[in-house]
Amino acid sequence: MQQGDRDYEWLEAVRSGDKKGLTRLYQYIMPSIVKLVVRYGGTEEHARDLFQDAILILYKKLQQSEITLTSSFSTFFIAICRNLWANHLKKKSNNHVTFSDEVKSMYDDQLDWHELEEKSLQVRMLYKAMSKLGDDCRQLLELFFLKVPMDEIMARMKYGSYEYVRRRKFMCKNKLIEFIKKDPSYKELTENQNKEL
Amino acid sequence: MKNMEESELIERYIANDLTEEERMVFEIRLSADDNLRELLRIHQLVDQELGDEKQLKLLNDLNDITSKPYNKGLSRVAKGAVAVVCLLVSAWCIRYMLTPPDTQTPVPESVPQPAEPLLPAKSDSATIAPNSPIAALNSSDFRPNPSLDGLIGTVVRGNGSIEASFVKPVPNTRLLTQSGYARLSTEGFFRINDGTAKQDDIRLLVFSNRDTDFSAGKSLLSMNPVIKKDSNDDFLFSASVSTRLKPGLYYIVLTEAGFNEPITVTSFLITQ
Repeated sequence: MQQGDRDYEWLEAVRSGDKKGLTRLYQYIMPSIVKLVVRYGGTEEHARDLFQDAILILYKKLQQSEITLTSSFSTFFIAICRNLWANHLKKKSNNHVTFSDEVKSMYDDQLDWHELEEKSLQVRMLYKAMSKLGDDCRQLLELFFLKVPMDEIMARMKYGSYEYVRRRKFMCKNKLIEFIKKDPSYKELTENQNKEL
Repeated sequence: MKNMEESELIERYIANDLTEEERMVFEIRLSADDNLRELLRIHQLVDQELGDEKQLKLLNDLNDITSKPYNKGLSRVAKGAVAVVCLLVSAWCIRYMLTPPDTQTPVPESVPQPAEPLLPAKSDSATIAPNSPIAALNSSDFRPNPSLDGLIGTVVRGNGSIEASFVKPVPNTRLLTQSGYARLSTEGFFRINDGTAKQDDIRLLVFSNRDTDFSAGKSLLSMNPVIKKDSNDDFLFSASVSTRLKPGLYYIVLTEAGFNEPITVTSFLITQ
């Protein structure tokens, strides 16, 4: 496979959320992300989070508009990770880590890095909160969020009445909101938003 | 209970489902109550972001993907060394292809001209003569596989900790079959540049020319390498197997266990 084809394949995998393609990208690019993160005091776990954040950022961007690659996809992707990691370190300590902004600046006119990073942080925070719910609550909320009709929800969740479904949904949603409020990222996001206002 | 009622009210407000009067009351409360404003913002965020089915699936998939081990990183390969290896392989290949094949197989007196070149000339390999025995065979069995052909003689992973090269067979070596079996031997060397890879991780896999995607493809056979360490801390590998393969073009791919991309590749041809 030629480099150009591979770049295109990976961009498409992110756009469409193709699991097979994303798995290939993960296998290919993780060693580089781990090296980057470990060099600056992080762990493999951080690298995995960074991979997810970077994919989400790209996914969100690609839902809005096209990206024209002016470098290889992997260079571009690593640049996103580097940028995210630098911001993470900046927030964690007063140590200012300087990364080369060469690649980042190549895409500045196409990406609002700050906005996309914030979006990604929000989504992952919500998802994390969802994963803390019990299976029953999570399934129920997912069905509601996906706008599955009430009758179908009752049947699928084996609930006896419409009223029970309604009450249980609010109970689960309130639990979810409780988890969100407790998440450290929530505080960070709220502070950022207040600063912007 | 109060929370539940509040949540319901917020949801109805978002869905534009309040009466005019209810809306007015709610908005007055909103303007004076920071907590209510915060709650409304979270509800809006949750509905918007978790209501995206595709995104939800993506997040589930990402969790699944990153919960699995990745192929450990290989350090950057010394480009000079690779270039030298490539040059040596190319030179060897050209010299070999210019030497008449040592074959006992009778050459048919008349062989049809192929419609298209079976093995298009590469910069580092010679073409098969149109009157060779191979040309008479089914051309699709000998058509180069673009996914693997471009990788011959190269070290594919730029960030790898293993650099490797085949010494034998040189690309496009012809092997003859005897009673349907061909003796396939391979040799080469590799170097481990950091601690993330082990010598036992080396895999030698044989693919046909029809595999279009190495990472999804299934190898025809796996060769067990014998590995020895030489005085320079390099590893020499060799493997040999007698196998039944139909005439065609095949590739030996050196890779690392659990890693679904080739590190280096060579090819050989089975002729009758």
